[in-house]
Amino acid sequence: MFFKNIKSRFNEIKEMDTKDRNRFIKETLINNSLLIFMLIAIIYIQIQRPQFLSRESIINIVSLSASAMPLALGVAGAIILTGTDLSAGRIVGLTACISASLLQAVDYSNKMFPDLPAIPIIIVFLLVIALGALIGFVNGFCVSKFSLHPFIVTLATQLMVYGVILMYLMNGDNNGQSISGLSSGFTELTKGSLFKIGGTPVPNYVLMAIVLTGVMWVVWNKTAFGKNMFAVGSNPEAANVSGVNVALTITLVFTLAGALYAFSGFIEAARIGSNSANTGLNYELDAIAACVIGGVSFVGGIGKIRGVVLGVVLLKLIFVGLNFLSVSVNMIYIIKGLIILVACAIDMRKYLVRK
Amino acid sequence: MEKTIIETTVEISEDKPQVTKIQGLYDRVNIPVKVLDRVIFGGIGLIIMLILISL
Repeated sequence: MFFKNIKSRFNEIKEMDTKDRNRFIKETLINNSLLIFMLIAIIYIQIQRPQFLSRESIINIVSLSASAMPLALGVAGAIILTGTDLSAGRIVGLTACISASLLQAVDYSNKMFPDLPAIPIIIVFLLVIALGALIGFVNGFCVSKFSLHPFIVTLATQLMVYGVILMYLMNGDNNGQSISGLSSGFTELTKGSLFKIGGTPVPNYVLMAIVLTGVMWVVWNKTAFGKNMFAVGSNPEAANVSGVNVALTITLVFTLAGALYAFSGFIEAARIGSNSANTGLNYELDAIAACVIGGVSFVGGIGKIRGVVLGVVLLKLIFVGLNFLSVSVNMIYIIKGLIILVACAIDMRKYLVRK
Repeated sequence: MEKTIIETTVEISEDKPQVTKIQGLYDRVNIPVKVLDRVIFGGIGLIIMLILISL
């Protein structure tokens, strides 16, 4: 099917006259310029540092991508509605801190709640997912019912959630310290591995992220809710006239996004091992950048799961590669900003050409 | 062979609630495409320059 599509596309290009063909090639090159640049950069880094794409390094990059994947999938939903979500990173932070505090080892000396008995992991997981979904619901409700822009609503919730994290960390015997000493069951569930590739263990959260990505693909492409989300993103008036409940769809998209951030938070809690108020800081910016690189458009109603996956993996590849080249962390921030700017310019260009 | 034509009319109720239209990021954008091309290539050039400087 895929090769058939490519073949028919090639035939279409062959049938074009020279002028149209040149224009098509130029447009394709410009629209994919960032991806082409990233691929060239990856090849260059591999030539300079042959260990960059070694088995261990690839598994490390895949693991980093997997931990960021649920977050990017949630933010992508908000972007498809022509919105954004700035509260994502802080929701990750809050849910990570709560997961860590409730799943500390019973015999750990600096336990946040010393008298707390061992709680089943599934209970904590469901609790943080419900909390994330609740914050997402507040975001969605304010956007849909009060016609507020998601930028403002999520900025407000970001600050409020940060305040809640700081207050939460002052609870019990913690006194604002990082939460560590997690129970072995929790660590084993997320960071442990069911299988190895060439002797290198693949963490379980990679499998979780793969399953979640599959579930999200079904939700986006095979459910009425997914179709409604794209319809509302591309034209809310038309969607309303067609019988789509716009307010409910917006609210559900943000609620689902909140639950996905909580999933990320749950994974991050175990992955990092020591959770503080800074956990999740600026995670949403990476997620937004990954979505835009992956072709999720701020115009609304445009985006694919495979684009989000590609964006997340490429972004991680580039940053790990820059670390391999010993580029300073300060410079990486500037490069990150420029990548977002260029990705937005490409997205805007596509929109203007269509218009 | 007889053909049956079914006519349907869709009435759009005036009472239908107003939908929320989120202001798109580019709704007010009115820049020539050529300027954006310069931003794209300038940006990529700058990224390459910064990486080369840092090496």
